[in-house]
Amino acid sequence: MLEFQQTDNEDAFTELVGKYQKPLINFFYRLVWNEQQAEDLSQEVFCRVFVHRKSYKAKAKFSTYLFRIARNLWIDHYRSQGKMPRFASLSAPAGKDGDELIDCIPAPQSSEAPAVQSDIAMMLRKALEQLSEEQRLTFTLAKDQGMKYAEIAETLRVPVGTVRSRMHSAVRKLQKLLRDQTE
Amino acid sequence: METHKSFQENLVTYLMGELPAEDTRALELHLRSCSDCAARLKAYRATLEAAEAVPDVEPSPNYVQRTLEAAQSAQAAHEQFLQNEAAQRFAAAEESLLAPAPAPRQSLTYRIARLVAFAGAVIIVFLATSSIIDNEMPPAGRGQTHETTGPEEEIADAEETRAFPLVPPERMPREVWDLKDIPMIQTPPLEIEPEKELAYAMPPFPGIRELHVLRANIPNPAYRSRIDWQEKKKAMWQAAGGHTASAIERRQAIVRGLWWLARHQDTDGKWDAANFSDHCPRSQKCADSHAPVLSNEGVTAAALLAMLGDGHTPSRGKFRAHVARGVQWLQSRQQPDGSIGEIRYAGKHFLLCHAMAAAALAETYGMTGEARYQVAAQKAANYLLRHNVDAADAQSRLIAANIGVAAVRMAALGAAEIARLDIPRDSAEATAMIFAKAARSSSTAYTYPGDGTTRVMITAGMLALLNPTGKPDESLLAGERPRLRENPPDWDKNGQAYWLCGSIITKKDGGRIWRRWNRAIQKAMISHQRKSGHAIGSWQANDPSSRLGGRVFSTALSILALETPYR
Repeated sequence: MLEFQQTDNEDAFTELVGKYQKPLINFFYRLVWNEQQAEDLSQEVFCRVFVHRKSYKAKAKFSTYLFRIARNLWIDHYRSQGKMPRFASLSAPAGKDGDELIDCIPAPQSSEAPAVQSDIAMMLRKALEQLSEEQRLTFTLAKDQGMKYAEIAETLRVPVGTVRSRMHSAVRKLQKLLRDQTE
Repeated sequence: METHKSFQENLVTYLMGELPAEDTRALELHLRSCSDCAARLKAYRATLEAAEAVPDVEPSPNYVQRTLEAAQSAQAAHEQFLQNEAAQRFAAAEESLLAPAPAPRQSLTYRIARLVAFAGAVIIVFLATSSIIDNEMPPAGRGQTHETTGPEEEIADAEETRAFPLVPPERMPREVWDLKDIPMIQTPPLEIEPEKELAYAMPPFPGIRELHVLRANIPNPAYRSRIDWQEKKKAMWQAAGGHTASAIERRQAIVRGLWWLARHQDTDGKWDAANFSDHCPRSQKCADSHAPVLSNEGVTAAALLAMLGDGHTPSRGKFRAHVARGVQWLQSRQQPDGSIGEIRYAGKHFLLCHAMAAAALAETYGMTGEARYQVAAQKAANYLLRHNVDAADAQSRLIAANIGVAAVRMAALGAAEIARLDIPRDSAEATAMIFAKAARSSSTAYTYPGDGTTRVMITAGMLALLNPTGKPDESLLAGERPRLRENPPDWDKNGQAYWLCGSIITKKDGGRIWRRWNRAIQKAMISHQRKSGHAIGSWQANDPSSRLGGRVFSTALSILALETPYR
């Protein structure tokens, strides 16, 4: 990042994108459950990094900086879409016979939609959507991105204790939701 | 001294490897003696392991290159924004320099007196207005604007012409209009031309919204009512007779219909008329009782027209990926002579299918204004122009199928003209007039041999009489309009093809006949749309013409009929 910041070298930027594209796309994918949208959001993060490269200060790790932008973008996106009705409506009845909208999600036609390939993944997805915004972010950063609590705290700009309690609440709630679904 | 509860709260941190060594030892010691905590630990571990069931997704090809291009564009937009901002600041500074000096500061007493006088004036105006409103309102039912007595007909008309809007737009549930109640659809990556990739990748986010808008600009105002959701809402609202609930109901029916179409599109972009149910789960096949005879090109074009009709183009709208793929497939099916599809598959319905495909391509070009669709659309329209229904041909083969084909052909040429393709006006008008004269000269003009119903062809024939500029041949239509009034949309008596044609005609006429027709359509359609199962959102075909293309076709026709107010 520093090299890109100092030299404006596009190769350095593409190297940066190449390194972080997958973690970032997967971070968003676990929030929006749509590959195209996840790519769009991640691309927007890289656009912001590119445009505002001069404002980056090398105090924190670049990944922390990157995911902080991602988090801010996600919050913007979340708010711009109101309460994200599709999360709530996935389990809402769509028809008189009690069908749920989630039952009507198109079946994956290729390997591009792997998340719905197994029942566990689908159950987990439904459960994750029940978590609060901050719990989901914390859980995704900790579990899927493998971030340490301290890094998450820095990314989300909250105390480490808050990260601990959010993570605890998230796992406890997930466990309960998954148990309810399997019963 | 740690308590049982504090140990419980450390379990997740312990599993994540974040617990300090000292606390870890204490917890492990506690776990040996506490079965409750041990059970919780096991459950939490299983939960965290289950979280790994969601597999990672891979970035699409060229992601890095596309990102670099997007970033460069965003940089350019940002610089432009800064320049504009600087220019505005400069202009504001310049203006302030040129402005006259501010008035001298007034005394405190003077300012208080002025404030009191202003407040008094406001109160007087408010009181006066309230008394006027009270005097003008009827004693009961303040919302009523029509008389409750008088002939039934007048009451109905008064209801129809009630002041619009009844409910302010901001009170309409946004999600109904914005498709937010529908989950995002998983779409395989598209193979798109490099220069267009950026537009696909551009999400509507702050910062690069300007770029997005620039790329999604609609050059042709003829499609404004489809694109602009406020316009769309207004048109639908008016068509629904001012009843908000029915407008919402109609919108939901359209959305569910489009969604059903989206779920039954093949990955290559086509809608398979016969095998669309391959996309259904084994236990919930969206079955069709009739084998379709229209080609995949025709059915795909109908589905695309339904999506385009709601404002979705290859570069904008929720179903943009579906439209992009569908149009791409249609283009791939175009022959060197401009025809779309192959005669050997479509048989006698070939020209009908081609005309629908030509209309879909013309609308795609019209709505996007992109050159890459222009060539295909023009070639398809040229093919239609070359295969004219001349006077002799119409006289000799004046069977209903030809009337239907001619109607769709005329509609396609009309769409091409609206899209500003190169259509010789005299040619299209001449065709309409020749056809109209031929139809009038024969007593069998509107019959459909062996079918039992003539209504579809009556309306199709009437549609053919309307030239692309929308001016109907009054001498012919005058005698036919009563038939439309006598046979309003009714699920048990007529079907989707008739409804669509009738909608287009009555909308052109406007007025009471249009509103009545539209209400009848809504009544007939919404109650018969599938509300459950995998077929949710679709319609079964209920007349011979709609059955030609199976469930995809009948659903597309139904959506098109519902979209008529803003198409």
